[in-house]
Amino acid sequence: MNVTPELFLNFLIAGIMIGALYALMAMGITFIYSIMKMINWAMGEFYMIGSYAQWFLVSFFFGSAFWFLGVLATAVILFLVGLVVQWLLIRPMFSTGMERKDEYGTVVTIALALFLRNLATVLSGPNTRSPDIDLGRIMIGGLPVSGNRFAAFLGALIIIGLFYYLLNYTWLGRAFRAGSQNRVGIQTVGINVLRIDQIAFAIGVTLAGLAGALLAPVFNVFPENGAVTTMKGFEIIIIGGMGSLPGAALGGLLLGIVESLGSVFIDTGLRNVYGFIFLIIVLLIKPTGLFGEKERLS
Amino acid sequence: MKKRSTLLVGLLVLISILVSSCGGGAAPTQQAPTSAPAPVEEATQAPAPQETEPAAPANLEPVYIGALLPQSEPGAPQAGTLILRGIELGAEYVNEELGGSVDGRPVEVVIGDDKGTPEVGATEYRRLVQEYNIIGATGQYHSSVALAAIEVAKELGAPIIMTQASSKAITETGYPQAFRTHLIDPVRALALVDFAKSQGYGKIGYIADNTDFGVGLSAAVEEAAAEAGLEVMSTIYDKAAVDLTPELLQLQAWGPDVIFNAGTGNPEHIIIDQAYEIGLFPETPMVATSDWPYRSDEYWQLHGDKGVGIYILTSYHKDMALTTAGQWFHDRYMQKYGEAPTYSSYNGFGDALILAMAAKIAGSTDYDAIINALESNEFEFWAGTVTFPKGEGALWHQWTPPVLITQYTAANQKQDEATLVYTFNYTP
Repeated sequence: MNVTPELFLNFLIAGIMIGALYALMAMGITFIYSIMKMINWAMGEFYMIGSYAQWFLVSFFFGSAFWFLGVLATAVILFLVGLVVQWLLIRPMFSTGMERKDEYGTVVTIALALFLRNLATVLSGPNTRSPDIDLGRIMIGGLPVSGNRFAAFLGALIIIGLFYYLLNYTWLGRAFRAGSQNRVGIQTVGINVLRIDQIAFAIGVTLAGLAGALLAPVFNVFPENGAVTTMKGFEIIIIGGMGSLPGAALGGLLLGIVESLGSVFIDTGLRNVYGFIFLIIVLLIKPTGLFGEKERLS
Repeated sequence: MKKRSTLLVGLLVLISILVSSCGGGAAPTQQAPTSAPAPVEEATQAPAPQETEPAAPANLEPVYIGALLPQSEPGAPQAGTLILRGIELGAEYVNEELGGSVDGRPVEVVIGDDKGTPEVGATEYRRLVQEYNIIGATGQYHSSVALAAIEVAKELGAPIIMTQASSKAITETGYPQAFRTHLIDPVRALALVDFAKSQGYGKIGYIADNTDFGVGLSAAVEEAAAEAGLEVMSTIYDKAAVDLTPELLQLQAWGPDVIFNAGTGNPEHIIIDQAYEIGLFPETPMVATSDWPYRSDEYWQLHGDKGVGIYILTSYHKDMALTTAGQWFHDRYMQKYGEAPTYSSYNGFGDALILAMAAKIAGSTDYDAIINALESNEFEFWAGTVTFPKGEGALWHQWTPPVLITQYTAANQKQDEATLVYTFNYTP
């Protein structure tokens, strides 16, 4: 195919748009990992809950004109769900003398993912859904983009910005960063590390839920819609470096671009392979990922 | 606390398993008796409903029909649900109007959720045969699942009638257990290309996922188009892809006159929305290569005005003449679900009817006898009669329904309001 500069630019823009949304998803995963040193395998299901919540709220409460209220309400709902889930299922990892924390975390979050996915299938029925939001079409460069997708892109940037502010300019953010460096150390200065864990988990799943809410009118709502985003999220945190938030942001953008351009210049059917090839190249050059740091073992 | 956490994990796993098993068939396990195959001398017409035929006695042990279809993603549960409605009403029809199946025994439907995944489909088929001793299975929607299931069918012997799986490779195997009442890819491709030619479209953009259906139809469309002197650009995307903008931009840059949308599951909808987003559709007409837009509530909820103008390849239109069984089904479906049945439901109904009648003719639940009955008789279907000839290649045990193309010309139309724009006359 003859790829003109204009067409190339269009593919690049399409890659950046989807990359920002990948980044939002990955930041939730890596944030929880950086604080609690556990992988939440149910992140995709929190994305799914976010998308269903947005569909429900827009369809039955706020209407199309006030869709953004649906996003805000989804954030509140996901935050509360995150607090409860963490207290019920994750907290015992740290509040008891559990020896095999990693195994417990893996089993409990995979079981949670299965439960939530099947529950959604039973409750929502077989039909795919989408909140009735139509923000028209806009032109970016030469690329016509739906207003829904652009709103999701802008929403992702705003949320990433707010998250950055929270981490770097608030007391809570300092506590999170301290906790990610030394869990025992922050307790010596009077910080309740279990409470920090709980809030971090809730924020992490809220980020995933917000991605689901923003993308609900773009990629539709169905019980399995979080599965792919989870897989991408894990790819991204390895590319960016485990536990690195800037790495997640950059990794998401790069993955979106690599997939978009790879599917044009090589083969569209191998889209998901390009991300893994990119991941392998990054690890060969920098085994800790783009922003990952070597761990010091005593 | 340690006890609490262990208890919680166990509870969660238990609830997950319970919830996930909610959609499965819940009939009790039993061994259906088998006997020697009944000899079938020559092709005979399967019994039509008799007004005097008594309903199947409820106290007899039932015979089971396996409904092997997608009930969850990554399959197409929407299609699976519609097919299942048809199969269940097929069982009701046999029990209420035809006096049951073998020896008057009532028919029950047991469900296997194949999840649109070959390995799950093969496992579920095995479970249905071994747990329920089904007289046969039907309902297949995904070709990849059907291809996996017939390998197990070859081993276990229970026949499968493909309701909506269209890969020609399925019947090309020539397995005695493989039957089909649905379009095969080459016929579908001939119809699509002939339609494009009749409308004056010279360049066909084809987009599908990398499943057996998508890839198989791609090859068939390319072959048919080459013979008809039309150009084709095929784009095959990964089934797990969520954003198809790059693929659609590629097609748009090529400048097609018509788009064939052969997506399955959520991507079939994504293709419409994202093609609209970049200005490809409705500027360029789009043909849905199967009748998923007939799930009209879902279609219009997802697309609204953006979905107007789509062409739909199907095998059903409201003006078609229905058989007695087809009319019964139409009326019962309307009464039960408050809407007209789609082709998926009609075919599920017809296939369940065929399986039950084949076992009744065979007078046995023995698989060889049922297969023999299927091969040697004519069966009343929802429209016309069905036979399964031992044809060459993909025409083995293949019955081809009519091929039609309709169009939604206004928002919120139901399938019965779609305009019939083209009829393909297929002769093998």
